[in-house]
Amino acid sequence: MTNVRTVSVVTHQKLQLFVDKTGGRWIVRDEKGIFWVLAEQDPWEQRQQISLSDEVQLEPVPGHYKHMFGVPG
Amino acid sequence: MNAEQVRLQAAPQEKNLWYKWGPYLSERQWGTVREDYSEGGDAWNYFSHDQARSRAYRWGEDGLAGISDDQQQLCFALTLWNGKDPILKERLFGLTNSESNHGEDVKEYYFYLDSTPTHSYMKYLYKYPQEAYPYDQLVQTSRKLNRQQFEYELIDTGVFDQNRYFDVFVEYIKNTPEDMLIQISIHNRGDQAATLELLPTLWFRNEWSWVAQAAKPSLRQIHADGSISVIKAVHAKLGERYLYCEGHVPLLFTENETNTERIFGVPNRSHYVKDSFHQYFINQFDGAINPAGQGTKVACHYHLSIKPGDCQVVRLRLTDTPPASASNGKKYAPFFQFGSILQQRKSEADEFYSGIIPKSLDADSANVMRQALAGLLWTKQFYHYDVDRWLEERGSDPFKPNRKTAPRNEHWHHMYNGDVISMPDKWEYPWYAAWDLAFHVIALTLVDPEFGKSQLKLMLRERYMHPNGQIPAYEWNFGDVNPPVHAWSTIFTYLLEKAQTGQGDVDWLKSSFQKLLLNFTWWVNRKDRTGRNVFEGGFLGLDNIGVFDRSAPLPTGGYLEQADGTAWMALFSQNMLSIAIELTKTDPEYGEMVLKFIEHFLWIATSMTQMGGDTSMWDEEEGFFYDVLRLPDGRSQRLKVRSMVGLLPLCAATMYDGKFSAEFPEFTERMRRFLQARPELRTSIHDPVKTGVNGRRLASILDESKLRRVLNKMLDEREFLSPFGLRSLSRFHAENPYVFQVEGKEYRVDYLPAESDTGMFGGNSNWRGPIWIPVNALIIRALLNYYSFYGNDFQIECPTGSGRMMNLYEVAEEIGSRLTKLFLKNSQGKRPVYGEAKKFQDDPHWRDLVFFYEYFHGDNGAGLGASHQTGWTGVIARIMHLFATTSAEQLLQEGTRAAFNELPSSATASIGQGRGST
Repeated sequence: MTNVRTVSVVTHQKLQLFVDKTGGRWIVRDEKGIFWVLAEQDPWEQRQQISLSDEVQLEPVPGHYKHMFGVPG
Repeated sequence: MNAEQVRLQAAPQEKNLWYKWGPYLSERQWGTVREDYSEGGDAWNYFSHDQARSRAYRWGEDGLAGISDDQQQLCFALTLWNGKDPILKERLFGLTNSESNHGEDVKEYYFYLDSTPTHSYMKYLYKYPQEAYPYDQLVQTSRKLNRQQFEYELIDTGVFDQNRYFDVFVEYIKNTPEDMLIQISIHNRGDQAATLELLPTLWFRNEWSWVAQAAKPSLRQIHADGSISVIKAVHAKLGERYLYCEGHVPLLFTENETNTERIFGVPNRSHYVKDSFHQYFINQFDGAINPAGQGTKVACHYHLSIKPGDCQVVRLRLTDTPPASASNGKKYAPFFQFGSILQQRKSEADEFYSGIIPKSLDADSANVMRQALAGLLWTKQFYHYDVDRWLEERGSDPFKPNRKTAPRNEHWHHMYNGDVISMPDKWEYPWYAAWDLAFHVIALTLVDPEFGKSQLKLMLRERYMHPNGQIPAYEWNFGDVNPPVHAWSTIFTYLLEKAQTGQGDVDWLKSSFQKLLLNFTWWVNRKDRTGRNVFEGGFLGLDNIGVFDRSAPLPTGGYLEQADGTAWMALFSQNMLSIAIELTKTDPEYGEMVLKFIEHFLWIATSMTQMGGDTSMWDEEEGFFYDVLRLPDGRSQRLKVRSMVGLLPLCAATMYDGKFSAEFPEFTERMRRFLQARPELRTSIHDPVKTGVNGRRLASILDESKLRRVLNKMLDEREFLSPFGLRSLSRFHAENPYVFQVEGKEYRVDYLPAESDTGMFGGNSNWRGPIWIPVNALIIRALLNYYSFYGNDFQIECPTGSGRMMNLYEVAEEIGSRLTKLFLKNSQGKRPVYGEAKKFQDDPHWRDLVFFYEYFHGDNGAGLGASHQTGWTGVIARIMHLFATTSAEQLLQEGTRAAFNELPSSATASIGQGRGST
């Protein structure tokens, strides 16, 4: 029975949740490409805009986690 | 009618209540496609076993010996800790596809011992080592092995050598549909006292974290004293439930939420996360447990110290009855009459199976058959996958222009699956596979025809079947192509019910036929490249059987005309014809469809033997069918691999009783005119006009001459016929490998009776020699159809060269008997399925437990591949039943309908003894 296939993908910009593992924080990139760091309380309501240095490596987080932080969409 | 039959035949509403709770918890949710949100679709590594204890699942839950409701809102399973393992045993461990030398493989010993169809009684056994489970040893040793070596198994680590393990038996007993008694019996098989932390665990599937509308459910301790602890579970849709735990039982609460600190490196927003019990026991961190006695996951902590040879029993009850509900004003006593209810359900299970398992079978055969059916019933799973939502959550919303490309299943966004489905194997293949499912139904209908019908119907629903008519294959690629056996399973199930009850479910058959028409048309429009009724299809479920990967572009260019693809379509046509004939009995309008499928069959069958001039699929010189390679420059050649691909045309054989011709002269006349105008359609295949025993007709690609030639090879022990059934590849290729050169590169097919030596299709299956039960079952079916037509006049030497002549019923029975011998004790008391595994052969606590493997060694019958593929290997139960309840004489008299009619038990006893088949 078949069980393994991998396919390369092409990515495009869209609102997305990331984790900055080095900084231990949740980051959201909105449709305009602006980055936001989520707050501990009311994560989305209290979010703060940030600019990320080139050294920061963001890892994508599945979209269903957005609901946990009240991130729309 | 016995008690289980009463439950099965209750009105649908009441019956559905009995189905509400069952073994619907998967044994592996990690490493699945639906939990995979990686960019490149690397499901095995994205969500690992190591993460599973800490990371909340999105789509379903898993656990050890577990149950859930039919929407998997509330789950119950076991957690165990021997005090030495580096992690709690919350779920079965196994190697991923890349970690093992032959693909993914569960490294645990667990057995499905019993189940009734409504799950009113179920029993499971897990063997838990008392020494530290050798996680690392299994991974490291397997990593060093190559594809030519056998897999490294848990038994090989020596962890069971001194018998220092626990036999953990779990029994589920339904008092009522909503009142489940749970008994856990733990035996210390070792020679020293041993302790065990037993943690029966109750938890909610996490929906509240992902879905805006989902209210968070709750679990709360409402009572605890020295004799009993009680948990109240509240869920917006499910309502209230109570778990009663007997004895002094501390309750440990946490939340079924991701430990974001461990998984993502971001501090948790709550102290209480999915792996809190791990932190509590392994890291001895008391703060991991919620002291408020509430959460969404709870474990009942039993600290057991068991003397050597002793057994301790733990009892629980999951019910909708609250503590203060007794009508006599007294407190509810959950463990009052516990034992008598257990005994009653157990006896009812015995009574039910005494009506299913033929009395002619001896005790060992009955044990094998009952475990096969238990495995099938335990392998039901709640399968949840909303593909549109999944695509959206990974940024691949099919309706957004700036979406990411998804690694798979993009074109299946119509799919919403959220149902209890019969799985191939809840650890190795915890996702449905369309053609496997059709075989599961053949066996499941022995005990629960209604469930079988519902499963077939499910795959044809708008939430499953693609709008273009394709039936989904499996989650790794729903668009892959599986052999079209759904119609066969459908007509089988219909005729079975009709024979047993006197009334077929015509409405179900009619609605199935409509959807199957879409599927048939999809095949005709998509897989017949040239419109000449020769079909492709790619790997078609037979993974590495070809010299090339048949699902990939060919290294030669061009394309393959597939003998199996075309034969499957011939069989599909016959099955559709059978359904149309049945429907015509109540609605003559379907007569048009009878003609349609007669014509389809004739065109397809003829194309196998005539199309392509010198390179049709039939090789007259060798007397066998082969795939034909069509090259871009117009040349063509047969790929002469003698395999199951060439035997499948033999399977496209169906006997018709000839009554249709008499009852519908108008259609018969139209058919006569058609055949008169197209005489070539009758010249190279079996002549459909020819009558056989009792005026019967036969639709078959092979005429008598071709049939004899193919059978000569099939029944030759130097080729296909092994001591344990038919091989998937002829042994001829052991000395004569098939070699094909393309631009200096060699492609070859050798006879490989055990495991695959290539990574083709993940390398976890092998169709180059081993014995596979489902295709053997199809061949048995075909032989019985041929026998119904030819009768005793058709005799053939079996085995070839033995001088022993048999009719085709006897040949079918011989194959069935050889297959059954895989599982039964031989004259030395050994089960071939366990090969050289001494403990499985000799130890009294192991030797009567049976694994139903995915496939079997082509020479010695040892089990290979997935160890719990009771799914289609469970068809052995149908084969055992068939030959214990029919006779050649009956088949001659009644035709293939005889297969659905049980003989009286006294008759089966004498037939069974007379033939000595099992």
